[in-house]
Amino acid sequence: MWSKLVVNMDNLSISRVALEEEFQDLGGRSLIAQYLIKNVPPTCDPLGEENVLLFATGIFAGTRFATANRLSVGSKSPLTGGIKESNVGGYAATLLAEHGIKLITISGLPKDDNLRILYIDKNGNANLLDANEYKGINNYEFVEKIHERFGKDLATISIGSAGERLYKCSSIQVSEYNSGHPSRAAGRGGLGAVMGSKGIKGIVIEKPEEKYEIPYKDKEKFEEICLKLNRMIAESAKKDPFHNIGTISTIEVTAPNGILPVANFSGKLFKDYKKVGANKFMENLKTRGGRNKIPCQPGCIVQCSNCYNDENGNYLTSGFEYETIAMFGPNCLISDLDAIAKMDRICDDIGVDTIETANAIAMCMEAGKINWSDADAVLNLLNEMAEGTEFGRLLGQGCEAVGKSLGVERIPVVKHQAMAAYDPRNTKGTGITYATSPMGADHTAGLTMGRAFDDSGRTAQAYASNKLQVAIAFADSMMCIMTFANMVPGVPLLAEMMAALYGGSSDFSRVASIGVKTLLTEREFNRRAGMTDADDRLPDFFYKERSFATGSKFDIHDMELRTIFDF
Amino acid sequence: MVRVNEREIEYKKGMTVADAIREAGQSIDKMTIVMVDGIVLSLDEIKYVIVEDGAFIKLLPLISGG
Repeated sequence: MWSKLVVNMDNLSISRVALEEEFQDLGGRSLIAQYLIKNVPPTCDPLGEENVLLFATGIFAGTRFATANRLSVGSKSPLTGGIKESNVGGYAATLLAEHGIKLITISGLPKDDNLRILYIDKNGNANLLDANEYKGINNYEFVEKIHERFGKDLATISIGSAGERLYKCSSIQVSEYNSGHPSRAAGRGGLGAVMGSKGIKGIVIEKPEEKYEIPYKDKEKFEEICLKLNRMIAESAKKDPFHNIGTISTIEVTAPNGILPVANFSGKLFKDYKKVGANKFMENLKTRGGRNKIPCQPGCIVQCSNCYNDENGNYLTSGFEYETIAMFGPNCLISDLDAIAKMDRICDDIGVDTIETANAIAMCMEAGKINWSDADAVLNLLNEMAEGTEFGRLLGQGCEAVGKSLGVERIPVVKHQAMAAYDPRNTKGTGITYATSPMGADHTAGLTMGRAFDDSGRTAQAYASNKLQVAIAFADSMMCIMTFANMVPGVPLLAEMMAALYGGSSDFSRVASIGVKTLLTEREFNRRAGMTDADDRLPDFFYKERSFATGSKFDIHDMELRTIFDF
Repeated sequence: MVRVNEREIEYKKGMTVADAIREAGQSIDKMTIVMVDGIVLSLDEIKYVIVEDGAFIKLLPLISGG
């Protein structure tokens, strides 16, 4: 049976027990939703002793299914005040699955100010080690020191100084497969602050000496379906821009169609987008010894990650993605790709969400605190976050806190969380997802900007958002959504694969119901936490201001938003 | 010869990228990223950029956002 590692920070105890029967065939986001609603009071203080921090592997963890070893991090969010699941690639979930651990729960609060590491050794023994020597250091240095102390045959999950300072935009960084760089982020919702509140600087997982034997119901059948799906993904990935270039390719579609946010979601077009676009990115990789087509976790076929070097050919950052480039770039009117890469590196290092942080910086520009396009000023502000100055700490509280403090009226947040790099006036289904997702303004919860949907009008956009939110809720429980996008025709086979792994029904309704139940559970958690219909709405300016690019406003009625989850 | 994804078509002097795509029987829309010998071209550019003999045109449909 899969096991659960129970860590109680009240008395610094650890126990390893069998995962409850009801959770055995869940994983990732679905497991987090069910666990949190049963074990965490929705009205609790996110940084208090009643909140629990969860790390969950996926439904197909430990198998050969592509990107089965994604890691979901969950808790009540200090940023949104609601439920939060933030998932991430990297190497950690692979090793947890090889140890037979499906869930880690970290509850309570330590009675002292000491920092600790949760250390899982090669035999699966878990201990809390003193980590005060790592106090105040950031993720890259932390990983370097861990490698010096324990070797490199391990994975790390860590927080930087931002998480220690309980910034609401703080991330949890996971080390990348092979390189070990802490560049994979469970970025959204401030979960790094929850980890910081529990005094956990990092989780270190050694590669196990003996791999956990997965108890397949029908291993032969599972392998047969798995191979079929992996082949389908590989074939589709050949034409996937994320495989051929990287996620930066998204800008080639969003920029000319008015979807790319420019100057704090002004609705304008950014004529210099090619300076931060796919060709510039690929040229810099090629001339400086960087790389694309990197798998951030073992077994990934899409391989959308990359390694980006500076002008001298030295490593600068990896996992350099569209969201970061768009939000620090065009949304701040910055067209210097190297400067944006430096911003990404600082964010990964101190451990903050690039989307939330870049939006907070855009608030500073909107308020006139710094000038639009001023990359040096942005780097200075990020350094203030790293140093923990008074204003740096305000930035750490996220876009809404900064916007309100500086008197900005156009604050692009839903459920207190900043929007990702899609203007909802020109991809209205995505706007509906931003408004109604239990996660807040999260593009990964159901991005409708795709070939199957016409984003120029409003017809059927609620339908598109609904279907995608359900699909993503089960995909987040099983795989990376970049893989999911490449296997849509094979979705019915997921149920057959579940049956071959766990037994039970092979009907697709089993998979679909995981998505529906997860969403409804998350919404119920938020309702109990005090959220209402008023929280399922975009900021007013998207309803009032037209996009210069298309003339479109966000014209989805509140009634349509209210009924989206009437299944 | 000009290659458009898996299809090879005869090279014709002066043909544009858009001509080659049409000749290969492929269709594109605003979600398609067109890459010619490793360089991304906008949907406007493909109308006037001339293809060279031996070019490899990749049509990459964006199926999700990054």
